[in-house]
Order: sequence, then C-alpha cells, then structure tokens
Amino acid sequence: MTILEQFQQWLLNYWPSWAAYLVPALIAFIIIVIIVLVMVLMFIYMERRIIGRFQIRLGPNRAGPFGILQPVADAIKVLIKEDIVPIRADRWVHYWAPIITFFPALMIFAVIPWGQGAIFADLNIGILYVVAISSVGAIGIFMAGWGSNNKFSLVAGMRTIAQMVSYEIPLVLSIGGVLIIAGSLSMMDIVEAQNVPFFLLQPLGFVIFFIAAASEINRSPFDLLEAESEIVTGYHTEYSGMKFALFFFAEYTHAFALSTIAATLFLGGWRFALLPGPIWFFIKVLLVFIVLLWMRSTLPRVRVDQLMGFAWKFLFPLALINLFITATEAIIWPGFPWWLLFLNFAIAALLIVLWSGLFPVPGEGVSFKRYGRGIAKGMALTFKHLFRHPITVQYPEQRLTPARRFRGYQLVWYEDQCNGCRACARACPVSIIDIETRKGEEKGLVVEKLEVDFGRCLFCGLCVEACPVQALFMSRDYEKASYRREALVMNKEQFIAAPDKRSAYAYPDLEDEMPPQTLLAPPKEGR
Amino acid sequence: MFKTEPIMINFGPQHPSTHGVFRMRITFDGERILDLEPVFGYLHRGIEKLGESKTYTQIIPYTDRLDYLASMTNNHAYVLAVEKLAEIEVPERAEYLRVIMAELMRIASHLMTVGFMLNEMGAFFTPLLYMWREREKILDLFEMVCGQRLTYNYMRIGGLSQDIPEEFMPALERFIEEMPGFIDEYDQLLAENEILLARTKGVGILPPEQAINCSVSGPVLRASGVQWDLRRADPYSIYDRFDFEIPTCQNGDVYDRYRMRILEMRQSVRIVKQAMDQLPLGEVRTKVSATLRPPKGEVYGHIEGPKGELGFYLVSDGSPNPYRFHIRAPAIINLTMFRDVCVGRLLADAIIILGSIDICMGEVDR
Repeated sequence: MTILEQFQQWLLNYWPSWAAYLVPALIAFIIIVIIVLVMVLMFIYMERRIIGRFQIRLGPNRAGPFGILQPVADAIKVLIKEDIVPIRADRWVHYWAPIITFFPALMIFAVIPWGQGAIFADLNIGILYVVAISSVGAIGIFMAGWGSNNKFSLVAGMRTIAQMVSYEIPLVLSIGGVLIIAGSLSMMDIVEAQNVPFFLLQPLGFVIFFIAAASEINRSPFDLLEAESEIVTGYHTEYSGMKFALFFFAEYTHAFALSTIAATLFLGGWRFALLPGPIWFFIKVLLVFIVLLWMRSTLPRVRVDQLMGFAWKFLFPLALINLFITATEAIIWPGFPWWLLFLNFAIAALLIVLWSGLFPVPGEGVSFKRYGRGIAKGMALTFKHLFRHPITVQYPEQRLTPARRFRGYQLVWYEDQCNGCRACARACPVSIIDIETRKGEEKGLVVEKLEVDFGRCLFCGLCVEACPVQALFMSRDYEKASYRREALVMNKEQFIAAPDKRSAYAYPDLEDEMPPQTLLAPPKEGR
Repeated sequence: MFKTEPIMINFGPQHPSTHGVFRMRITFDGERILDLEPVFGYLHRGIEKLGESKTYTQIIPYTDRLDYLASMTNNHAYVLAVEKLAEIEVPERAEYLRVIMAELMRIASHLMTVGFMLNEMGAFFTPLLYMWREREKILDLFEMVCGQRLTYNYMRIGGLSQDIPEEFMPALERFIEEMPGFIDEYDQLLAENEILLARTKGVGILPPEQAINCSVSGPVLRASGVQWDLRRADPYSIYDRFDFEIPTCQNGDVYDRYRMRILEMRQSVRIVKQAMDQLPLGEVRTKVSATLRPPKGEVYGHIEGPKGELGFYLVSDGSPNPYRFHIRAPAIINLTMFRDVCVGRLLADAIIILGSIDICMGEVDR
C-alpha cells in the first residue's frame, strides 16, 4: 500500500468515493510536478556551474546568491521572447512537437518511488510503463524536425529515429537482468529486492543501461540531435520563446527521469543507512547526473554511423549475453548471494575487453587495449581540473591592469609640446588625423584644428612613434564605447593631457612609474 | 514508388563551426556527402590593392589583419620580404626576438586550431578552454612587449618597434618551463580517447602526391608524410642556428593533422628555449626612413607560418609605395584539396576535416 492509497482509503470514510480518489490524486500530481520542476531548475543550474568548474570557469554567478536564480532569469528571458514560426513550416506539427516531447518525460515520474511508499502509482508493470512512455518523446523530436521546414532540423529528426530505435533495445535488455533478479516489474518491488544494490550484481547491465540511457536522453557523447558544430542546434533550430523553453525543459526532465530510473534500478533507490529514504534517493540521482555532466565535459561526440554500430555491434550482443548469464545464475544460485558480484565483475571486465578487440580503431589491427582506457584518462584529467583555480575574471569588480605599453582608446596630446609638424598625420595608415596649423607669434606653428576619427583607428601606434617632440602618447584606457559614431570623432578640445593616462608605448622611459600588468601566469619569486 | 533526391544545404556563412564567414554548399544523400563547394569572399577587404597606396611601413598594421590568429608571423613575413627588397641588415638581438615571437605565435595559433577542432568534434568546450588558458598567457606576453593582444604591429622594417621590457624574460621563462607539462595534459585529455580515434583515424586522408599537387603546405602537408618546412628547406632569419626537428606523420588523416600540431608545439618550445639562452644584447632596430624607397625590382619573401607557407610578393618601382603587393596565404591554398577529401564521407566528417585544415577567414579572403 502506498501512502497515496492509504490516504484515499482513509478519505473514503468521509467523502464520496469519486472525490476520495480524485482529490488526493490531484494533490499528489501537483506535488510531483512541483518537485520535478524545482529539480529540473536545479539540474540546469548545476549543469552550468559544474561544467563551468570542469572547464576552469566559474559558471553563472550573478543572478542571486551563487547565481542560483540563473535558471529563473533564463526562464523569464525565454518567456518574453517573440514566438517565431517559419513561414513555410507545418504549423500544427510545429506547434505540437514541444508538447509531445515534454509530457512523456513528465509522465515517467508517475512510477518513480521517492521513498518508502512514496509513489504516485505502484503499477505492477512499472518498468514496462517507463520504457514505453520514454520512447514517445522521440516522436515529438521528429515532428519538430519535420515541421520546422529546415534542413538542419530534418537531419536531426532522421538521426533521432535511428538513435531511439537502436538504443531502446539494449536499454530494455539490460533492464532484463534486473528483472530476473528482482522477479517483478513493479518499481517498488525492485527497490525492495535490492539488499545488495544491483549495480554490484549487474555491473555489465549497469554500464549498458547507463550508455543507452545517455543516448536515449541525447546527452554527450551521443548528442547528435543538437550537434551544434554540425547541424546548428538540430531539431530546435527554428524554435524560439516558450516552445524552445519546453524543449529545453523536456531535455532536462528526461535527464532527471533517466537518472531517477538508474538510481531506482541499479543504485538501490531510496534504501541506504542512516538518512531518510528520499534524501538518499536524491543524492543517488544527483550522483548519476554529475557523472553525465562529467562525460559531457570530457568526451567528443560520436559520428552517426559509429553510433548505430556501437548500439548493434557492442551494446546489443553484450546485453544479450548479460541476460543469458543472469538467467543461468538464477537457475544455479536462485538467491543471488552477495559473492556473485566478484564473478560478475570479472565477467563484465572480460567481456568488455574482448569485445573492444573486435572493433579496432581504423588502421590499428586487432588489439585489446581500446577498452576505454583513453576515455578514463581524459576523465581523470577533467576531474583534476574540477579542483583547480578558475581563471574567470569578474570584470566590473575585478579589473585587470593593462600592459605598460598598452595601446588603448584615445590619444594623449600635449598642445604646448606640439610643433605642428604633421608627422603623425603622415604616418597614419588610415589617414584619420586631420591637422591644420597657422603661423604663430611666439611659436613657429600653432595647431588650429586636430581631429581624429577613432571609429576608423587601427590603434597601430605609428603616429606616436612618428612624433619627434614627445607631444603624442597612446593612452591606457580600455573602457570607452559609444553608440553614436560621431562621438568617436575627437577634436582638439576633447584631447586630454593627463600624465596618468599615458601609455609607455614608444616611450620605454615612462615604464618605471606605472603599475605592473596583470598576468595570468606571473613569474615566480626569486628570479 | 518513392522518389529520392539529394538535399542541398548551405553550411554558413553563419554557422557555428565554419571559422568565420566560410560557406560550404553541401549536396548530401542521407548523411553522405555527394558534392561540396567551398564559397568564400565574404570578408574580402582588398588588402592587396590597399597596400599599393600605402608606404612600406604603413602596410605592417594591415598584415596584422590577415591571419588574425597569427599576426606576429604575418608581420615577420612581410618585414622579411621588404628587407630582402631593400637589402636592410637587421641587428642580432632583433632577429632572436623575432624568432621568439614567431614561435610563441605558432604555439598560440596551434592551440586555437586544436582547441576548435576538438570543439567541432563535440568535446564541449573543455579542451578549447584549457588551450585558451595557455594562449592567454602568450597574449599577455605579447601585450607586454607591444601593447596589444591581437593586432601586434610589433615588427618594423629593420628590426622591431621597441625592445622587450624588463619583466618579459622572467614571465617567458615561467611559461616555457610550464608549457611542456600542459602539452602532456592535452595528450592525456584526448590523444588516446577511443571516440576521438574512431572519429579521426582514416578520415579525410590526403595522400602525399595529392598534397604536393594541391600545393598544400604547413602541418597539413607534413601530416601526409612530406618533410617540407621552410625553416629547414629555405632557412630564413636565423633558424639555421637552432637545433630542432621537423616532425612528420604518415597517414595524412585528421588524426595526424591533430598530432602534427601537438608535435610542432613541442618543437617550438624547444626553439624558444634556445633563443632565450642565446639572446644577445644590443640594438633592436636599424634606422630606416619612414618613407622607405626600395630600389626598383621585385621580391618574394616567404616563411613557415603556423598554417603553412606565408609569402609576400612585392614589386617596387622606386616610389615609397609598392607597385604590386600580393600575399600567398596558406589557408586558401590548403583549401584546394577540401572538396576531394570530403566527397563520400559523412556530414560530421566534413566539419572536422575543415577544422583540421585550419583556415582563418581574414587570410582566405584578405
């Protein structure tokens, strides 16, 4: 009996039967939707922050404390954007695609056990329901690919169908092993059966499930649907506004759903020591998700033919063998004693190494060393970078000092030094220095007009180098901009003669008095 | 019955992985490429024609804007050509500093190439950001010597615009000390990765004969097994004084082109280290008039840039402006083999083959 059913039974004493069933179900439904939405927002936030750290960046940290409001800010931005439908698009298909993609992902949560008895519907065919529902999303993605009337989207749509059909099979077969051990299709029973978490008893099944699930939810290295470098953003190239947001949400909801299923089937669900069930459940889900992020930040994408080959030549036979071995074990040792895990780990390692030899890298011949060692090395390196100091510069608060010779915006000009020789105007490659002089009384030439168009300036510094009387300097400013082009044309009055703005470009003697440049790798002490 | 027809699709000029405004018109069937036509010219600024109305010194800032990922090398190639034309002697110290800058620029450019190539392969920005970190350190050094991070305008006819500042050498020393460790890290990150091997091995094979026929140069040529490097084949500047190897690979596929860059970075570090040890004191610039009038004649000066043979052809009629100013840009010539190696491959392959050729639109379109 789940908590929901107990509550309904209790309400039957007071309310008419239809209300006693419907009202608690609606409440439970709303609670689950809220949990899912909050978790998905958290996933989006975590993805951006954690991938940032893998890449020695900080990730978003401006909206709210530690940037936790970033997904909310993104959502608001997306909501107020214009909803664009391409003029030749198939309107209805284009309209329904995001909805059809999103809802199946949400429906999976009906059978996810969050804790002891905390499940919306304890279907006796729970896992079958999950498998059936989660493949509906592919239709939505294909609809988006077709309906957008965009060739990039169409390619993505074709890739979706191929990928979904291929990876569904190893996914289901790898679940088969779990079902044999648990002896039930119900999610609750599967969790109850895990006195030893199933990833220990089913290591090979877990690996296959994890890879196939990553492909199912289009995560890297199987993110061919939205391969940015190949097909722009794939199926949602032509989507904007709320429809795009739904796709984005569907993707993360699906990722969350598959993470919960992995946690339920292989990691023991809500069961573990000390802490209450739901907390353990969320910890396990997050672990699965972080591994997905880790993979995303390390691995390159596979090619479409390799994707199919991998599913049919590698995952499919291994999943079959795994099912066979599990079934054999079920006959010989029906109780599945814990020491079986050593045997199963050995079999899994052996099979993976053997199979890797069957599909060698082109031009290398049969070798048994390509079983994932390179991938593991790369992942170890990205993990190391997780703890390195991020190189992000928080710009307005943290300003870098430019080099002492920095050639920045605006020139520093000393009128009293200038003798109007026009050397700067002659040296300028783009002829932007307009200088007019007249004969003065005390001095030889007096500058009447000096106009420089900084909109065309190359900042090459040739004018400063050409100046024979030290009247012209580059400045070290780098923070000026203007929307108006005419504001970039500066005349005599606007030039300042401030010594602290000067750059040492072409005047190395000035360098000593300036603050040192900020370096990413400053020289070590004692050199 | 069903009728099938190939799809024609435009990759670019605005596309996330076409390195600027490059456009590929691809005809494909399913995912297999039937035909591919590179289209360029969107960034044409007429630098060659512009150069004819500028003095020889004024052209230097324009060369920065050719291959903007390797501006120092462009400066170097151009001033070498002019010095050859006007027969100007360059001080020793300037030569050494030029070599240091050119080799640092080669490292920076290769870092960008490899990073973007891996990014196009789908390694979501991680290798790119790791490599940018090191490139940033090189840009810091360049900013220190010449005041800019992208368009350096550092070399002058007859030397350099100014000597290096005091704090340059310690900072460079630290960089050169750490760089081999970082290159090892790049290797650890992806060199043995099974997915990367599967994606790149045997993809986009360019046989040596075809490479020579297409006049390909630089790492792309050496990846096909042809040992041709102008630093050895036609030594310019002072490259004959350094001890370094010209690495080559055998297969000429995308993987080899990726390896070539990593190997060349190691050699560049070696050259910089030697140049630092041998760096003499003295002047960095011989006095040359701002309106230099070289004698009548023509000259072709070329160097080994990060992308290949970068040449400048200059014709002088005795006036302060060149009569003819032509650039042999390596990127556009390396593109000639692009169609041949892509046809018959998959869509995703074309993208990484383009990444492995390493084009820069500033140079392709000029």
